[in-house]
Parts: sequence; structure tokens; C-alpha cells
Amino acid sequence: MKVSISWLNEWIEVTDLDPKQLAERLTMAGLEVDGIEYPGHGHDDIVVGKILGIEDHPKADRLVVCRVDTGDDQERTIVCGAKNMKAGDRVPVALPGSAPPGIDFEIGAREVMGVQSAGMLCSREELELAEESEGLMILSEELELGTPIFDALEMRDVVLEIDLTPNRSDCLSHLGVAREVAALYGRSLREERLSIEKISAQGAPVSDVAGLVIEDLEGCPQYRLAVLEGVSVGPSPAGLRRRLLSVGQRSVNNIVDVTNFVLLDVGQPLHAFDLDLLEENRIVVRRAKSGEKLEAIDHNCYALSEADLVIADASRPVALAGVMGGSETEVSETTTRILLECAYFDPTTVRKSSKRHGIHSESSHRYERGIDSGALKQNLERAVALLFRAQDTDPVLRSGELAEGSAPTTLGEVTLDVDRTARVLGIELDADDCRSYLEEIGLQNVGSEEGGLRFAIPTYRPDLERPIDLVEEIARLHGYDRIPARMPRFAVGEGHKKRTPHEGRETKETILSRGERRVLDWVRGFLLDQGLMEAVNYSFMGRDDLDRLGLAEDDDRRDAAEVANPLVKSQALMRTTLVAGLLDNLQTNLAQRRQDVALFEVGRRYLSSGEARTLGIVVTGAKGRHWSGDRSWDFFDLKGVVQALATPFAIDDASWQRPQSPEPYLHPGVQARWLGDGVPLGVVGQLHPAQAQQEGIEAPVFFAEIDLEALIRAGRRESQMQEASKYPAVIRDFALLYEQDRPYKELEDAIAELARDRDPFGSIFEKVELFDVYEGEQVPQGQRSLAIKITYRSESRTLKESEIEVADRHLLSYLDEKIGARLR
Amino acid sequence: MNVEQLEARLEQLSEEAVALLAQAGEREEAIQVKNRYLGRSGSVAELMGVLRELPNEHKRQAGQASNRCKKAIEGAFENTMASLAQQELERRMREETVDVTLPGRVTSIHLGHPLRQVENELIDIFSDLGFEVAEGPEIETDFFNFEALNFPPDHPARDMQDTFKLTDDRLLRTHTSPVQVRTMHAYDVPIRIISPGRVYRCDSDITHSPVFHQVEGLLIDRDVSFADLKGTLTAFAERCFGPGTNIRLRPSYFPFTEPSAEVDIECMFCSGDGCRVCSHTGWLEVLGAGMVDPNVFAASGIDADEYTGFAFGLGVERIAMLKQGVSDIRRFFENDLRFLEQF
Repeated sequence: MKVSISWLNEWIEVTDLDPKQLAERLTMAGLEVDGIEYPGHGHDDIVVGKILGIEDHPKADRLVVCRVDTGDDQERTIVCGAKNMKAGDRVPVALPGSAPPGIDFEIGAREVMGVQSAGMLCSREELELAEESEGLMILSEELELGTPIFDALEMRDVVLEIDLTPNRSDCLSHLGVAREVAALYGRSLREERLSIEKISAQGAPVSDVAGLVIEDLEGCPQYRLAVLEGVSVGPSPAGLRRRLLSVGQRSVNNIVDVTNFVLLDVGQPLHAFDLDLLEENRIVVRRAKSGEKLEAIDHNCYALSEADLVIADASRPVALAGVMGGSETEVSETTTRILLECAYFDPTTVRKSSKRHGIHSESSHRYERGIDSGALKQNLERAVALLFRAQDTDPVLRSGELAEGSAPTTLGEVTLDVDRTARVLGIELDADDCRSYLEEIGLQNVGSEEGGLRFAIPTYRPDLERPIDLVEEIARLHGYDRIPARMPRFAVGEGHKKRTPHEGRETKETILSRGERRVLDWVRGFLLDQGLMEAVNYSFMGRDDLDRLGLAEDDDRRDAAEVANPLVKSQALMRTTLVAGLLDNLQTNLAQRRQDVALFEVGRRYLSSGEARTLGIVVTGAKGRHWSGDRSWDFFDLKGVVQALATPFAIDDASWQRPQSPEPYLHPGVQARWLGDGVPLGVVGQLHPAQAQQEGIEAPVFFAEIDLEALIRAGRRESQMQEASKYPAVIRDFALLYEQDRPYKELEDAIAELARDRDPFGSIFEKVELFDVYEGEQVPQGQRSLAIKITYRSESRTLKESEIEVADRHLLSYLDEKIGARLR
Repeated sequence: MNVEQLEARLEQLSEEAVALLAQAGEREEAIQVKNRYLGRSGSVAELMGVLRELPNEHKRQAGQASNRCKKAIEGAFENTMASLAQQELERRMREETVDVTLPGRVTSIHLGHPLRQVENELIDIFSDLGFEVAEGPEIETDFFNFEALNFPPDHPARDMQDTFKLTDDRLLRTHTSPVQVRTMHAYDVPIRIISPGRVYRCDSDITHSPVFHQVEGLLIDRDVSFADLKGTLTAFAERCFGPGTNIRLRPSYFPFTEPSAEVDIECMFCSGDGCRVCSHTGWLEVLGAGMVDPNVFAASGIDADEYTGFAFGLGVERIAMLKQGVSDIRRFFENDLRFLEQF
């Protein structure tokens, strides 16, 4: 909302206030001033001048030399190219050193083809008063010479840009802002501006020429109209044009400009119809019939529905109520009779139509938020008076009134509990304070009783409906800055208790346990300690991403929640995997020629089963560069990182397996599923070479995606101390030959199984460790050598060589028999 | 050979051996010398063969001389060996000497994404002030995101938040306030929570991101006042932006609070004098806050006559941009290493 200070000054004395301080005061009262503009300021050196004489330029045919008086007893010569002026004309003169707003250079005193020229005579365009203009701007004879031009034109103004919150519909006009200023500064509105010039109606009763029916009183509780005959449609008077221009409104004609002025002046949307274009000269306020259409004044055609409230004539809609008028009945140059609408429409109805058709107008903006329902009568009178003033010859106003519906005088009463108000705000406050604050904004104290003071709410404050609304007004007027700052009191250690379940109430817990937060912090911290960097991606993905990862048609991840109004196609789905985002991050960095990328992200996936906190990792290139040599990330590095992630969780049996249904975006031979106590926890693997090629990535890239919900569900590990054995360990190394394509896991499992039987192996077996894997010339084709270390130890004695030998033999024969692994 | 001659001979042998050992440059050489004199058939043993021929009264004297000789040689041998070991150690250490000015093998450690760092700091501050962390879903229903927060259907206040809708009837939460509603549903009063998390609005430019992060707070109890809200936010501002940071509350409007306030903090770049960052106002808008609206209590079945409460919300990106000097919000989500490495 743009507020012109000079316009505002018509309503209330504000010229004595510094605009910056006024802006600050309004801001601190909840009318946030976003910006201040100073149109017409800073051009004191462009002044009103008078042409004393015009002579031909001695050297240039197209130029003339003007002798100009700018009111300083000094005659200056100015070379000029225009032709439309004559001696005696007053014109704007840009003196040397000035910079007219419509041109981008500074005016100097210089020689133009041998003639001294001390300034420039200006056109409208050069003063930025018109987009295009021909010839000089010829000024009124009455202007005093030497006056700065924008002063002379009364165009110097200060404009405040106020960012209004949706509740303050009352301030969507200069009158509304004036009321606010009056309350803040303890001033009153100007009586002369409040009174309305009475136009005496001369025509026959309005009901002779027009009809009005409201069929839908819910959508339109009030409708008033006036008819003016003998109007001539033309340009508006300069003053009116200037007012509109000052707040950025384009002038249309002397009818539409008046309706726009009234809207900005008192907040009342109006609409002028060409009476002769209304079939049967009738206004019917009704719901649209399905199939009806309206071409609005924006020249778009809107298909109406039964939910739309329309203004119709005898046969068709002529306006979408409160939103926009129709083009067929709008006022044009040929219009001589106008029907002026001044109505109150239901905010929700207007909003729904405005939303449905995507039309946001100054009118709908005000109706949606609620206009002053008690001021229709005077606003219509005000508009009629202005229409008269904007006509060269007086038109004829039809007498009588055509109005339907009722005008409320107040919006009801609200009772304010003074003690409670003081308690909620944390300030000292008595009834007198409350009364004086609220009376300042036009509320009337109509009674007091136990429990509080009763106030009548003026019709221009539809936002004040409940006691708390009055509390806010008191807080605002008291000043938030005068409310003290205190710390809330509560019992130390008081925790949240679950509420007794109740019909219709959500019972799901929201409060995160400290333990849960700590393990999640630990996961982040651990990965950061591994030298990985943390990424944060949007929660979106595109349909392309699903194909990019090669997900099968029946893959659950294709069942993604879909955004109905995405900003771009690549953000049309809620992500069901973190991999796509990390792949993008990888590409971003590879494009910067960064070969070493190690990123993780902790974020949610949005699955049909719910939102799941997830860890995604991508690594490629060297783990860390050093002059002594680099090591590149490989599958086992990432697997190791992931394995370590299990540390804080109560997972007894973590295992790895080649997935039965492999991830399509991972290398079929270099990917593994991670399980904890049989529950899938995630997947680790190398980017599929075909995918890598498609992405244009040469170096091996490794991904992991871990379901943190599954880890959290496993719970936190609780450890019990076990006494370490006092007796020495005996370590035996074995190199076993084993079929190349059988997993190492089988060997480990077989040993674990054997260890379960106590004697002679299990009772002294402590652990097995793999320390070498060899494939090549030294071992037979199709086999590999696995070198393992077996640690034996007893808790009760030092082991004897003979016991160990028995255990070794037992182990070797078991492995041979069970999985065909033999000593090399 | 009489005993005196024997003694003299032993003396001579020991001198010879000691001299040889002193010259020995390697362990092997020293061992050979030692063996040559003290070995089973070494010079000393050979010489001592004459012992049998000596009269008994001289045997003792000869034995002593022999021991002296052996001790001398052994002593010299030990010394030689020790000194050789020392030389060997020194040589090895000379070889092992490195240029300590060469770069170390640094594990590049980072402190996490700037947004997470700031979010964690905010959580820590409010945890210290006694708030517990609560979370809820990001895909929400109209009820929890709007209706229960006093946004009536078809109310202009809904325009304040451009909502992403899903193709079913759900939406992406536009603030973390639904978590407040869910908490009021599930827990008894008093309530003191903060709800950090992701929120969504369809808007994208250098200061708006379609996905961003909020931390919101809610405190409900008997006799909670606007003054308590001011105190809490002042305490927050001082902990987040440094002791003495002033705040300023301006009346504003949010459907779920009344009275409502925009909260400005004193610009930390110019200490309130006015600069480019604060558009020469001296203040930076960082929070929205207010007293919980009675309609919000009603929607959660809390008696508004008995309880009052306050709520506040702030944008993590906004704070991060201020604290870390990030001028374009999109930088946070590009995950360019050149950006991430700086934090």
C-alpha cells in the first residue's frame, strides 16, 4: 500500500512530521514501512522560466536561440530545438548543473555551434512526466518565475510503502492510515475532509431508470447504486491525475479515476457501468449459472461456476462481484449515463472467486480482507461528489436511493477483562488505561460489568472480534518496547508427560529422546571425523532421477509423493532415495575438476510407509592426498566406515551379503546389503560402470545408503564388562585354499559353527582374523588362498602345545569336510 | 714355564687382545678376537695347558692371573660391543632422519554443513533455556499446518505462505508449527518445546529457498506473559549474537498468535548505527513471535482461560546467512566443496 504524505495531509496534519520518524512510528505500531520515496525531490535547479524572445540560430537551421528569464534579473540565452513555444510562454528550465530525471546527463553551460547556451528548456519526457512527448512543456501563466518546477507543479511528495499484514484491512486507504496516525499522535482528522459535499439530485427517481435485486444476500449483504446522466467521459482534472500518479496509479478517464481515487482514499471499491449497456437497466446480484462466461476488463474470458457471485443485468453476468468488471459494460468514450456500484461483498466469496480465476485486483484485495461495511452510503455520496467535480459541466444525478441490504452501525461488542489483559501482557494496567487506548482507535466503551469493559467495535475494524484482539490493540498502543523482559518460571527438571488420549487428538509422540538425538549426533560426528563433508540437499527429485538410477517399474521408490505445483520438473517428487541428490553433488564438484569427493547427507526419505531418516554417502578419488603417495577410496574403505557405524547400536549380528535383487545403479559384483540381526540396514556399492559412463564419470564412485530408522530401532548398545583372561594367547596362521567364487563369509561362519561345540576347538577358540587373500600363479586355477590367524586362549590355564595341535587338526578337518577348504 | 713367566705371558695376551678389540670396527671382528683369545682352544686356554706342570702352591696364583686376563679381555669386549652398538644406533638414526618441514598427512576434518552447525547451535541455546526438542512429519495435512493454527479455509492469511500441495490432499508443511499442534495434542501442559526442521514454500531467489529450515519454540503454562516472551528472546539473542545484543519487537500479524510480533535484533555489523546489511535501519529481522492465539488452544483442547503461552519461530538460513556472511541462500544447497570447505 502506497501512502502519499500530501494526500494523507488532506486527512490529518502531517506536514510537521519528519517522514522518517513517521515511518518509524508506524512500523513500531505494526504498519511496517518498507520504503520511502521522494518523488520530485532534489531538482531545485529546474525552475519555471519565461521565454522573452526567440531568434534564429546563426549557423543551424533547426535550432533557435531563446532569451529566458528565470526570475533572477538575469537574462540567459538557451539554444533549443523545439518549435512549439512562443515568446511569453512559461517553460521548465534546467539550469547548468541540474540533472533532469528523464535524461541521463548533467546540464552544463556550453557553446552550441558558436552560441553560448546556459541550460536547457525541458519537455514532459525530460522531466519524466510522460513516457513520450513532443516539444517543450508549456506551463501555466500563473506560475511564479524561478520556482522549482516540481514545487510549481505541486508534485513534490513523500510516498511511504507500507507492507500491511492481512488483518489490517482498515489501513488499505489514506483515511485508514490517517486514523492510525491520529491514534498514535493524539491528533484528529480534518473536519472539512470528513464532511461530504452534498450534490442535489435533479433527475427523476433513480428507480425509474434502474432496477436492483440481490438474490444472494449472503454473498452480498449490501448493494447501493447511483445513476448519473449526461456525463462526458474524458481526461481527469490534473489534480486527480496527480494524486493517482503519486501512488503509481495510471489515469484512465474521469469516471474510472474517481472510482480508483475513492478506493485509495477511503478503501471503498466502486464500479461504474455504462447504464445503457445493461440489459433492462437492471442489476441482479446472484450466483453465476454454470456455463456462463464473462469477458473482464482485462480482456480475458472467464468461465464462471455456480460458486461465483456475479453482478448481472437482465440476461448475463456483467461483473465478477468484488473482483473485476466486465468489458462489455465498461465505461467508454461514448458513455453518457453511468450506474455507480457501491457494495459490500462477503470476503470468503470474493476470495474464492479471485483464487479460482487467478485474478487479484485492488478491489478483491480489499473485499477479501473486509471493507468498512458501515460506510457505503457516505462513500457513494463521496464518489458522486467527486464525479461531479471531475466533469466540465454538471451531469444530472437521479434522485432517491436504490439500495438493498442493511448497513450495520457497529460490528457488535467485545468485553475486555482488564486483569487478564495485564497478566497476558505482563504489565500494570487499569480500566482507564484500557479505555483510553481503545477509544483512541475509535472503539466506544458502552458499558462495564463484572468481568470487564464492553466496547462497541466500529465498522471499519472487522478484525476486532474477540477480547484477545483488543489485548493486541492495547499492547500495540502501549508500545511493545514498554513491555518489560522477564524470564518464564518453571520447575527445574519438569519433563513432558503424555496426555490422556482423547477422541480426535493425535497421540503420536513428537519429543525426541536425548538418546536418539545423541546417536544421530554421533553418526554425523563420526563421518565428519572420517574426513567426509556434509551435504544438505532439497527433499525433492525428478522423475528423470528414477530413470537415471535405472529403478525397475515395480520398485517401491517409484511410488513417490508428487508435488502438485513444483517450481521445476526436477523437483516434482518427494525423494525416496538420497542417491540422486548426492550424484548431483558429485557432478557439481567434478565439473569444478575436483577429483576427490567424499560427502554424506543425513536427511529424510519420503516413503509410502512414512518419512525415514536416512544416511547417504558418496565417495570417489583419493582418501587424502600426500606427497608420499595417495590411496583411493575403494569398496572396503566405505564398507569399513559403514561397519563402524553400528558401534553405538545394539546390533548383535551384523552381516553382509550380495543382494538377491541388486541395486540397478550399482555394480552387480561390487555391492552388498548390510543386515543387522536379519533386518536390512542399507546398501554399499560401486556406481554401475554403465551408469558411470552415462554420467561421464571415469573414476570409480562408491555409494552407501543407510536406513537410520532401522539403526535407531535397534536401540543403544549397553555394555557389560568382562574380565580379560590372565593367560597367554596362542596364535596360529593357516593359509587355506578355497574355491575362488565362494564367499569368505562361509569360512567365517563354518569356524563360528565349529566354535559352538565346546571341545576340543570351541573351548579355547578366541577369534579368527583374515590377514591375506591371494589369487594367482601360486595357487591352482579357480581357487584362492585365504590366510587366517586363529587365536586360542583359555580363561583358566596356559594352553599346552598338544591341546593346540588337537584343536588345529579338528579345525582343518572340519573346514575340509564342510566347505572344502584345505591347507595350502 | 714357571708361574711368573705364565703371568707375564697372560698379561701380554690380554694386552694384545684389548688392543685388537679396541680396533675392531664391527661386531663380527670383535667376536672373532674374543674367540681367538678366550675360546675353547683360544690362546688363553692353550697357555693355561701348562697349569698341570705347575707345582700345586703356584696353581692358585696362576688361576688368578688367568681370570684377570679373561676379565680384562671380556671387559674390553663388552666395551667394544657397546660402543659398536652405540655407533650402529647413531648411524641408523642418521639414516632415519626426515625433513620435518615436509607436510604431514592431514585428515581433513570438517565441522559439518553450515546449516547444521547453526541449527545445532540454536538447539543448544534453547535446550539450555529448558526447551525439549520435538519433531514431526514434513508431509502434513491441512488440519495440522493451517486449520488447527487458526488459518480458516479461504483466509487471506494463507497467502502469506505459498504452499506446495501434493497430488493427494496433503501438503508440504510451510512452517514447523504443526509440530506444536501435535505436541499439544499428545502431551499435557506445561509444554516447553522447540521444533527444528525442514519447511517448504514455493519461492526461489537469492533470499528464498523452496526448502529451508526453521526452529520454532512453544511454551505453555499458567501465567505466561508477553514479558516472558520478551525475556526468552532477549536471552536467545544474547546467547546467539553475543552479550548485550538488543532486540526490538514490532506489532505484526500471524494467525496463530495474538498479540504477534516481528522481532528485530540490533545489527551486529554496525552495532545499530546503520549499514548496508541492515538497510541502514540498525535492525535485522530474524524472528516472528507472539502469544498463542486462543483459537489454537481450542483446536488442541487446551483451556485458554487457564493457560497462556508464547510461540516463536526463526529461519536457520537467515541466521546462518547473517553469521557466516552468505549472500545467496542457494549456496547452502549446491554442496560445492569450495563452499563447504570453508566451514
